Amino acid sequence: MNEILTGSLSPDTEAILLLCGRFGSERDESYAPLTQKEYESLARWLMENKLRPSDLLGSGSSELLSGIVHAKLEPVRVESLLARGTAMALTLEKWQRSGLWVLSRSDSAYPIRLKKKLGQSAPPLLYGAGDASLLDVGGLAIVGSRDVSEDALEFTRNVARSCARDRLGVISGGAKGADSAAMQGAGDAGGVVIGVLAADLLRASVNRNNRTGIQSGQLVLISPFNPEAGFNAGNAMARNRFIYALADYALVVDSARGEGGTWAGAIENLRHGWVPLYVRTPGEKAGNAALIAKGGHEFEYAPHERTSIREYLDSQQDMHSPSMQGVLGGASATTEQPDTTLAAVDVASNIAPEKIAEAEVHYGDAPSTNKASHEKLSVGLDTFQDFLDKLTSLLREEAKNEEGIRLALGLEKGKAKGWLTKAVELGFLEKRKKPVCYALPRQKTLC
Amino acid sequence: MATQEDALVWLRIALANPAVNFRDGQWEAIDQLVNQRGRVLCVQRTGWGKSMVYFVAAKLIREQGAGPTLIVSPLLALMRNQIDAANRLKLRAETINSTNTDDWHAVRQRLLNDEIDLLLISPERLANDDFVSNTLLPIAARIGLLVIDEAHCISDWGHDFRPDYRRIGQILRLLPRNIAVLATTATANHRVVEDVGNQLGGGVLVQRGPLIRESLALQAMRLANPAQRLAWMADQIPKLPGSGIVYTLTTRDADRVARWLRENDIEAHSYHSDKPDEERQSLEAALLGNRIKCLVATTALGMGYDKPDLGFVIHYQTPGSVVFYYQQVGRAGRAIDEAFGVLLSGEEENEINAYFRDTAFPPEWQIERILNALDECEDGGMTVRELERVANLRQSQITKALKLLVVEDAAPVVKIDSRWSRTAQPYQLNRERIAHLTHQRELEWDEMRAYIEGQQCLMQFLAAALDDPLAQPCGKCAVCRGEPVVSTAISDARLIKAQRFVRQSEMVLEPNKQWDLSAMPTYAAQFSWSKANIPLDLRGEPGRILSRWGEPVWGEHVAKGKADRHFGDDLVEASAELIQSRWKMATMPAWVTCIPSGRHPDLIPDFARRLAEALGMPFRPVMIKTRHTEEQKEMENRYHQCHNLDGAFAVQAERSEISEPVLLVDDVFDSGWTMTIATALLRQAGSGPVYPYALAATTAK
Repeated sequence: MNEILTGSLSPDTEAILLLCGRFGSERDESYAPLTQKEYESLARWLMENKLRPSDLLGSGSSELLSGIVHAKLEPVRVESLLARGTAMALTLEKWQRSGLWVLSRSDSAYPIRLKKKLGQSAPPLLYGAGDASLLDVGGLAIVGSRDVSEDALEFTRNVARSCARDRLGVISGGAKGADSAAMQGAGDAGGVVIGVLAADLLRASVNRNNRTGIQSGQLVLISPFNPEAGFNAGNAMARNRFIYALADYALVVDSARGEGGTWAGAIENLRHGWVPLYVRTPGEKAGNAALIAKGGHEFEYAPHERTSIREYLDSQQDMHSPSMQGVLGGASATTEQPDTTLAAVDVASNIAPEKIAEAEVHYGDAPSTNKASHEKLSVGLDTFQDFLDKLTSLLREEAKNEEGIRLALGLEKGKAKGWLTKAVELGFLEKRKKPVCYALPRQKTLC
Repeated sequence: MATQEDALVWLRIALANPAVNFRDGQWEAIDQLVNQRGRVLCVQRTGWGKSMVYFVAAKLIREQGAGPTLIVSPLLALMRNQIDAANRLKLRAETINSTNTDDWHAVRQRLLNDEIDLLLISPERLANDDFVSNTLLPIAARIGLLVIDEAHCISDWGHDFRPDYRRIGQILRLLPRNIAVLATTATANHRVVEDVGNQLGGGVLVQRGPLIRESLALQAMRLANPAQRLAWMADQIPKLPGSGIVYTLTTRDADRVARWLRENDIEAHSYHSDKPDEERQSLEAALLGNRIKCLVATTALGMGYDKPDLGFVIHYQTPGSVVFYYQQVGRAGRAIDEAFGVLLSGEEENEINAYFRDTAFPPEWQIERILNALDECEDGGMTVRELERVANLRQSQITKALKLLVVEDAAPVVKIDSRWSRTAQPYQLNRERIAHLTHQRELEWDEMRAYIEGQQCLMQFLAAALDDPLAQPCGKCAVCRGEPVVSTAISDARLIKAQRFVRQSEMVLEPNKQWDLSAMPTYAAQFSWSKANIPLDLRGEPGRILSRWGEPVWGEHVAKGKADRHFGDDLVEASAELIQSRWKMATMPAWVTCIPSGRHPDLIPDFARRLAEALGMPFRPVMIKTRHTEEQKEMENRYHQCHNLDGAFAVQAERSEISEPVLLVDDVFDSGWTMTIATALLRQAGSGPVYPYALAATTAK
């Protein structure tokens, strides 16, 4: 294994971890770690000044930090975050000793697909357990709800086994239900599995099945979130994109319609066009047909016939590939873009998971309680989803300001502001300056 | 940038001395820490002024607006003179340790409010994951300077393997370079300096000063027999200046020597890890204030303890290495003109030091049992208590093994919310490393034995062994002077008294108070026992144990008797004397019984019969063995010890026969469960109070 993973951090990773990492409990923080957007703006400023993240820790860094106001950051906050070295060392020591590693975008082991597909929204930090070189194997993302039927689970296991037979990696989310069936099916058949976790990486890494997989070099677990953080619906939503982005194709086993994480993740993938989306047909849930209507492909592969799943997927892809474009307006073009100069200083962005959770609670229709249940959350998402759909067609022609959007969609002021902020945070929307307006993300319109 | 002038002002304030100047190296260290946020390794003898370096540095760093200083030290509290210095500098200092858990919350809050400048914690706190996550992490976000006291412990080349310090080394490796670090020690040879320097990262400033202590007169004496050493101390300690420390290798000896000295009108108290922290702190204070003549201590007293006017340090046995010895003897004579360091070498020390070496690491079979248990267990891990049952190991063995395993670079275990789990990382016991460390300790022991030989100046010998380049003959030690610096005379009367004391080194046998009934389903059902606390009317009275297994005088006789399958009449006499003249019982027993054994059915009854005869009481072997049991000494914890005995004994007697108080005899006392269960059975059958008596104890102490 790469020495970056087990030994001292590279100077850039060290600085990024100090800026964006969370050590211990949120409630004791005098300054919050940088969010995705904030880190991005810092990275841009660093690049403009021909600096690297690690320069912030070097001698003379205090003069340097006074210039950071140009990145819209308070110097005192950045300075405080960078001073958290003792807390970082204490935390990292425990994680590393327990077999976890940390990667930042500046590390060569950082998964290439995440950088290419997500561009600026690739997480600046990834925590993981197991062989990090597996992160570049690609393969089939298998997703589905927690409450799928026994038939669906059996189907999932069989597909995963077929992947293993064809030496095709399986990427999944480590949740109960379809995720676990996929990971277990592939693992048992000797296949390679990438688990993208929303919570509790440390705990998950010592579960018996995972432990065995990691020991045999077949399994790698990753999470963009603090390895000791507990479950949080916002994080669960936010990690869906990494499941897709690490894969070459995706399969939805069963999905509810218009609600739930599976639906939201699949829609997000269709919107961005990260990977071709297959949907089990016939499925057992209402969302399956709806996803096909929105641009998914029917998945009619019969795992028990022992035909090659790789060949099946490739043939389907050739067939569908042109029609992949243009399904969802803004997502028309492929988002794959080479990592250009910005990558040198790492423009990766944090997903700010806790912020999303807050946004859900605050802006959604759910009551404002911190224990946002999955169900309540999805109600909010559903309406938010409609908003996004309408917004995408509205902004396809030209960027608009807040008032313009509000009037065009007939929203009240507070709601418009909230949803717009959230859409920006989720990366669906870009906020531009001079004049202030909202537009579809540049990365999707440029290529 | 802080200038030397700024720093000097603070130094003078701290020491309340307007004329004082920096010692060689003090300013350079401060400059490196404050102005470069660099790393410094400071190897200087106790009293050189290492704490002035970090006090002044902490003050200057604070003035620059940085966070507080964290001091990791085995000290329970700052020493009085350090507190004074901190007060003069207006540095607000606090301690977080096991004695003040009630204050933790308040201290934490004050740290979060930025109202504390210096925080002192122990290495053992730093190695505790729960403490780190819940208490330290929230406040660690602002720490500007990290001070590691006794830094030689982080080196694998050091004498002293401490898992807690191993973790500190790993934390240092991960510490970003914008955090200043000061590592200090009084004892480190070249190899340790190099190793610690490497762990501190590149560009570390290393400072070494001379180690020779000019006021200290050293002497080494071979006095094989414990009675000789006890007698010598009772004769000589009253003549030594001021107050001092007597070091012993074991806690039992610390207690025993302190008792002896008190019997000889010397105000002495024992100090060791079995004593509560509060008592230890008050003992430290008593010695500091010269309110007692001496503390009789194990290594638990030492690191960081700084008493400027300590008059003498006597070793009752030879410690395992020069580093240990220098560290302990070097506490004497820091700020006085005359002090004595006398090493007494005894016949038992070789064996004790070998025992320490051999048990420094948990044996491989214990590690395997633990890892297998964790490998097999359900998701969610196991508590130590659950591990006890599955692995059949003592709690102390499990804790010790886990503590070692969890600090491995690739730890095979992890603790999440007080439950232990196996990690995915493969584990291979590093036999090479253990062999290397054990060999290292053997070499260190050989070096100490050479010291006892006294072939060259004793001070020069110590300094040279610690790679002090300036080591010269001291002209003060017994070797340099060619005559004793403290008289070697022992008075005959005292020697006779000491010999009697050694023969009467019995111990109190404390009956167990709680049992594990889930391990004893047969008895629990038979007698309707249901409480975790053993009912008072089923418990034994405080008993006696004549000796320690294998130790002179009686322990040797017991070991020999066990091998010969016959305990001699001398043991009968010694036991009778103890019982009749030194054991003050509430009610004298009226009869004698004993524990039955399947293996050597006559050994104990034969002894008990003769003892009963000597005491003039009837012997009634009323207990029988009803089934075969495994050897109790193979059972490693309470669950298995209780389980092994469940339904194994029965009392066969008329109630009237046994209703009076009874002396219950066994040969070797280990966990005490045989005695406890036999006592409960006797009481259950209607016996009077039970006084347990055993010939020897084996429990490690």
